Amino acid sequence: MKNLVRKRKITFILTLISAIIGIMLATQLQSNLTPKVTESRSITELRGTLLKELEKSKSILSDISKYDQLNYQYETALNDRESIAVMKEELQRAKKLAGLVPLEDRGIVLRIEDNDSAPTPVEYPTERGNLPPSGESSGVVLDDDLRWLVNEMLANGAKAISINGNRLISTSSIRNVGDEIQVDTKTIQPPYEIKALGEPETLISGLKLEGVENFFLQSVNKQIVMEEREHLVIPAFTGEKTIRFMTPVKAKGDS
Amino acid sequence: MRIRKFHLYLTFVMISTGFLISNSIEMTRIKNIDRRSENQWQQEAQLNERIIEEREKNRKLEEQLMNAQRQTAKVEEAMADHQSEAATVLSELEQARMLAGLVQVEGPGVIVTMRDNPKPTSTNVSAYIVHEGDIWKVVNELLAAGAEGISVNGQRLVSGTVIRCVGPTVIVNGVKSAAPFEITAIGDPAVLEGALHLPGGIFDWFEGFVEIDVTKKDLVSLPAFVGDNKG
Repeated sequence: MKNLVRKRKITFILTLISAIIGIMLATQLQSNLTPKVTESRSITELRGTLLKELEKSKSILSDISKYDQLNYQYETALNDRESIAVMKEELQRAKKLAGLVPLEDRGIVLRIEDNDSAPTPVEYPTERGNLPPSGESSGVVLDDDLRWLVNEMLANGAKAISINGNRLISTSSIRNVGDEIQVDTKTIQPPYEIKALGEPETLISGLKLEGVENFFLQSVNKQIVMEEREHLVIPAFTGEKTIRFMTPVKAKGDS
Repeated sequence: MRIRKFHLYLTFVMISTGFLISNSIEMTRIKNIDRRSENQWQQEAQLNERIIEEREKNRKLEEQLMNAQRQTAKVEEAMADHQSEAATVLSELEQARMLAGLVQVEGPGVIVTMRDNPKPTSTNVSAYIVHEGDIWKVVNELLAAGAEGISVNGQRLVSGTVIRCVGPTVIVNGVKSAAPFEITAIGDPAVLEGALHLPGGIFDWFEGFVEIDVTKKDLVSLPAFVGDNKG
C-alpha cells in the first residue's frame, strides 16, 4: 500500500517537472525565434531605401518638366511647321534614348583575346549544377558570358554598349545559335570587342574589382584587354525592329 | 531499487533544467547587449515614416507624369489628324518612345514565373536557386523570339538595365524585390511560349532545378521606365 502511494507520488512529480521543462523550452524557443525578424532591417538599409526613393522622385520630376516643356512648346508654336519641328526634336530625343542614333563620348574598348600561355585544363560541366555563369565548354565564349559581362559593365557605369559594332538596345538578345553567337539577328565572330561609353577609370577599376579578368581566364582561358578612349563612337542600332504587338497605353485612369 | 531509478530521473531532469536556465540567462544577456537604444529605435521609426512619405509623393508624381504624357499625346494626335507629315513623324516617335521604355505599353504576351526549388535533390544547392544569369537567360530567349518589351518584377527593361541578385532578392534598375521572379513580355504569345519549350531550350535547362512556369496572356501591360536611363 505504502509502496503504491510512493509510486504515484513519483509519477506525479515527474509529470510536473516534465511539464515545466516543456513550457520553458517552448517559451525560450519562441523568444529566440521572433526577435530576429523584427530586428533584421538595419538603419543603413533604411537609409539606402530612402535615398533610392529620393533619387526616383528627382528623376520623375525631371521627366515631368521635360514633358511640361514639350507641351508648352507645342502650345506656343505659331503654325504647323513650327509644331512639327518641335515634334521632330522630341523624336530625336526619344531616338537617342532608344539607341537609334550614334553616340560619341569618353569610354573604353574591351577585347576578349586568346590567352597565349598554356591552357588550364577545364572540366566539361554538362549540367546546370556548374553555373554560374559559364556553361558548357572550355575555350569558347558563350552568350551567357557576354551577357554577364555587359551586365557588369552597365552596373559599373557604362552608358551605351556595342558588341562587335552592334549597338545593344532594350530588346537586344545575345544568344548562341549553333556554335556562333548572335547579337539580335547578326552573327558575330571572335575576337569579341565591346565598346562602352562612360567614365573610363570607373569602368576599368569597377570591372577589375568584379573579377572579370579572372573569370574569363579561368572559365574560358581568355584574356581581357581594356583600353581607355577619349573619343569613342558607339554606332546606332541598325537592325530591323518592327513593333506589331505593343501599343502605348492611352486610356485614362489605369495607371 | 525504485529510489535509485527515481534519482536517475531526477538527475536527468535537473541537468536539463540547469542547462535551460543558464542558456536562457546567456541569451538574454546577449540580446541586451544587442538591443538598440531608445534613440536608435526612434531613428528607425523616423526613417520608415519618411520612406512611406516619399513613396506616396512619388506615386503622385508618377500620376502627374502620366497626365503630362497624356496631354502630350493628345496634342500630338490632334496634329497628326490634320497633317500627314505630323502623322509620319508621330508614328516614328511613338515607336522610339516604346523602344526606349518612355511610355507605359500594353499588348498580348506571356508571363514567366521563376522560383527557387524548395527541395534540392543534390548537395549542390546553388543550382536550385534562381540567379541573375538565369533571369537573363530567359529574357534573352524571349527577346530572341521577338519580344518587343519586357519587365522583370514590374521594372521595365531598357538598354541600361542591370539585373543583380543579392541573396533571395533581385535588384532590377536599382529596385529591390523578392521571389518569385515574374518576367512579363509583350509579343506573339504562341511564339514566345514555344521558344521557351524548344527541345534543349529553357525548360529543359531548368528541368528539375528551378521551378519555371509560363502563361499566355491576351493582354499584359508594362510600366514605363522611371529613372535616368543612361543609354
